[in-house]
Amino acid sequence: MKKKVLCVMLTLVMTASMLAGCSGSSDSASADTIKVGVVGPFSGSSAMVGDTERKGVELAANQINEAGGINGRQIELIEEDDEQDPTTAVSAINKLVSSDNVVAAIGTVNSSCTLAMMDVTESSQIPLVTPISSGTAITDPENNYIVRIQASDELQAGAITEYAVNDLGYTRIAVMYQNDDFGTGGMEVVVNTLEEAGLEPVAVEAFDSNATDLSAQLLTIRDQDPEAIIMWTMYAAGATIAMQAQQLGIEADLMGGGGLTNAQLYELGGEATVGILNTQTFFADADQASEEAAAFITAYEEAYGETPDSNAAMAYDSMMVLAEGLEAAGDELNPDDIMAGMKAVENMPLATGTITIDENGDANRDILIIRLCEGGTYELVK
Amino acid sequence: MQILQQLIQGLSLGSIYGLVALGYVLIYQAWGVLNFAQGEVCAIGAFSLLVLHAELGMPVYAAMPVAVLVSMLVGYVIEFLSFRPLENANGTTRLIATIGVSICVRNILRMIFGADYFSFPTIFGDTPFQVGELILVPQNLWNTAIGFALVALLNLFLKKTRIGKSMRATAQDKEAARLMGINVRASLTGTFVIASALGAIAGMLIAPVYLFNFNIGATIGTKGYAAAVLGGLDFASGAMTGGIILGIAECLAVVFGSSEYQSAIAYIVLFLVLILKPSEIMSKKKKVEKV
Repeated sequence: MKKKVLCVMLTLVMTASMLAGCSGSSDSASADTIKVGVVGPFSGSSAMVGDTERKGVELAANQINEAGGINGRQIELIEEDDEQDPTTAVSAINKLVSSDNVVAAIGTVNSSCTLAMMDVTESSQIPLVTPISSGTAITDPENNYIVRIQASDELQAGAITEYAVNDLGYTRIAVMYQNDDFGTGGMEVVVNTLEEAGLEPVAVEAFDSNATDLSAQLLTIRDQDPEAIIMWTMYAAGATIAMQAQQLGIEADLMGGGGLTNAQLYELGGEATVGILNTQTFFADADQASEEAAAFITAYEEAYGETPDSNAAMAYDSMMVLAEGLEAAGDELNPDDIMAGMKAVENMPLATGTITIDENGDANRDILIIRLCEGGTYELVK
Repeated sequence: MQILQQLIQGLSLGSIYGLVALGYVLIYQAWGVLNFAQGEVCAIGAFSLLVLHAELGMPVYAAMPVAVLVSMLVGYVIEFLSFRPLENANGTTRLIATIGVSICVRNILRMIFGADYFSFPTIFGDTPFQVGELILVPQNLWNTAIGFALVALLNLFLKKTRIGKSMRATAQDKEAARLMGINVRASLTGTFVIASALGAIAGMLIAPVYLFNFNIGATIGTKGYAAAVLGGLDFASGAMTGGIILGIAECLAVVFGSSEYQSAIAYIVLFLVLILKPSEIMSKKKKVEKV
């Protein structure tokens, strides 16, 4: 008797779940919304960046939806945390692709995570727009489903090295980089750019991105008496380098990429960080900004009560570029059409400047160079 | 001079590793399990000091003992919730429980403090002074001195005081200690709480020198673990020696090797010890399993 009841119940449950499955799929087939996945480090040591990434994407999606959506359909964002961990990033994108059935995704911050996700998005043909990852390996010509809004390390590291060599006239340059995809990629570009200028770096030192003490590397660099240290890392390690360099009496100029721009750099490192030069795609000053950037700054401040940083701006632009692709792909939302639509973006004025997406999916743009001043403010130097 | 400067850096780094290692060793001796939450206790020390001093405005010398007390309390809670119930479980179960505690504590810290990095105002001064060509930072010198002083004090405590002796007796043989009328329960708990205090002090010494976030426990915990294993998981002095060797090795790796491998040093040490002298670690395990 018991068995019979169990059988009947099991049958009922199975039928119910099948029906539920059916209704689920028919829902997404009628699809009044366009589902877009957002992956970011909403927890973990880059959670601050993940948070601004999310805000930027949400602001853009809200603006698009308020203006009537894309071909009459609203954008629905589905967010997943990658915890700044490549393994988690892969599970996150797998969930978005296979159970949420997103048509495209935006993400993420950490280059290693983006690289890990790209295998999934490529094989399941989901266009991925990465707002912030700058790692050189990301816009690999073999992957047809990636677009990057961030200025690649290729662009950034090239720009800061050329600034040191051509504008400042330095010849003795040391390089420090964090020992991962992001840091190594940047370091290689710096070294190559120096080589093209007929120079050799006086020292090249690696460090772990979690390392607390970098004095051993700095002492080795100090022996070479460089005029500048180009460091390819994020703001926290940047602050450590600045403080320990000051303690060890190193007077070289410190410079690096966009990852250094963060209010925390000055808060953590104080006076030692004043004078750090770095590349940037966005400068949050509504007076000096273009019309589009100023509109973005105002809207962001209204929505969140805080000044946007470059990450928020790039996340915003990611959604805007993706919207171009979605618009072009019509009702079918064929992935190849979405990609073609995004790659057709040319001289589009956005929050982070005028963007052209090249055939590899990289956003070509002008690079700004900014300098950290007393009190933690920035000035535009180039 | 360059080498000497590197040695000094390595020494100050190593004495902190040593203090963390000390916590591992104490708990390992008493409980027969490596407590992978030891790094997290350091983090709690650092964050308690941050809250008490930087947030609540307590003077730093008052905040330090209070931060140690907070960490001892947290240590007690960890012991009560995750060590005591598993006292008779097998080694693997208990090891995994400590890893669980460490992940849990780390994420609680993240929920409270976020993922931001913090800097802590210097306690003993961070304006460097020069001796000849050497650059010395007062805070680093003090860290080294405090590290050594604590090892000496701990040795005295374990060898000269009644409580210390009963802890050592418990560590050597629980059954025999119990038969001798020693309160084994209290000794075990006491060891755990003292190890937490040492961890907290290590955390408080790191805070003014380096930037830290919720993840500091993981970083420093690994180094402390490697130092403890290198020191033979024996009492105090071994842990300190292990810490200093590791600290110096990390600095010299940059000078003579390549900085790319600096962060691998701790793992290489672990690997070598496990290959070459596994008995150091295995012996205690066997003894405990017998109990």
